[in-house]
Amino acid sequence: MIGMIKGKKILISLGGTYEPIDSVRGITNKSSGKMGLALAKEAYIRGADLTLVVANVSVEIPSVFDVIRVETSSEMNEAILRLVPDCDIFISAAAVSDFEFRKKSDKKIDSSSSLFLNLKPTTKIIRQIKDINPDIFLVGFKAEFNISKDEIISCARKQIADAGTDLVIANDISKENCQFGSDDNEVLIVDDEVLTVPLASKREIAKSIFDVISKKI
Amino acid sequence: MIVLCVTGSIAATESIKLARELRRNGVEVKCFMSDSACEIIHPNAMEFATGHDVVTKLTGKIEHVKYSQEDLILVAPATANTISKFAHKIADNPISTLLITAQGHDTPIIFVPSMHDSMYRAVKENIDKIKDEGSASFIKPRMDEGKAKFPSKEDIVLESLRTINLNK
Repeated sequence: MIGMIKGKKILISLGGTYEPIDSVRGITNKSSGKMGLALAKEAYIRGADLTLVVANVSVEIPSVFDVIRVETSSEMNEAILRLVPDCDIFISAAAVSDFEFRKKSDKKIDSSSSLFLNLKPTTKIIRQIKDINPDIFLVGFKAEFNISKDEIISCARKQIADAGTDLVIANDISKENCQFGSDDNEVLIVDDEVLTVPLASKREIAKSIFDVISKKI
Repeated sequence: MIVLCVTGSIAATESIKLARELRRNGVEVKCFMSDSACEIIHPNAMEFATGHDVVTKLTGKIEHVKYSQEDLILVAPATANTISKFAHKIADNPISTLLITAQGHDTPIIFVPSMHDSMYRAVKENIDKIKDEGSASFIKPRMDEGKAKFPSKEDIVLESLRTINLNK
């Protein structure tokens, strides 16, 4: 089954995007890039032709990988949309900012008075993928906080309906050892069926995800 | 099984942890050591790291044939001497003999060159010859502080496991 991934063109996005408020400040999230990196390693070991789009990460990216570095969600959007037409599989493991600033100050904003930030929703990258490449196998992630298993599954199925995702990896980041940045995770692999992967290292989870992808492609 | 060939570079000290890291990834490791590697680290260290006897001489057990068809031959560190001998198919020690036996069987071979910059430049023609004939691949040294350093163990493990899967 490992052979199914051999030679496949795989794109993985990972890390958290950063939206600048001014020249020194910005908003970001707590994504570490660990899950995306574990997936990248597993894809590489299985012989994939791999490209990574990497935002802010707290992990070291091995030098053997082909990497495109980005900072903001719009840079990530641009890089992914450029690469997607030529890919067999896209795994969207990055935590992309849901908001960006209407107007970024190119100076450092004075801190002596209160500040109101005007945010607008960013373009949803994942919803554009199937329009550009209907044949791509699209894997999304869905992190939710402190909701029931049934609610998580329905959130995942909503992504499948909205974005045409072939597979959604869903988890509850309120659980112990499953927060952003943790080394382990406990996930649900959702499509028509639901596969529960109990608490395991992100490496083991990456293996389970590729085993499922190998069966579906 | 990966056959880890350790030759005489100071980076041989890294091979102990590399063997452990490969085993943590579920790979069985058998080690061959050159005489000059044995002057840098003792074979006991590699015996401990691999859990197997270390081959330092060819005997009536014909070790160069016995281990020539495993999943991968990984030469780490690979000296200018070992690479150049392989480029010209010279077999005058256990490792160079294993390498040409493995090549004849199309067993994948990876070199991790580790030597001074000037030596690397001097043997570039031999490296290119091997690349052109496709008989082995190379993991590039990590450039740091203006020196060609031994790549991270993680990179070596990733490339090794990938090479095994690509050749299945």
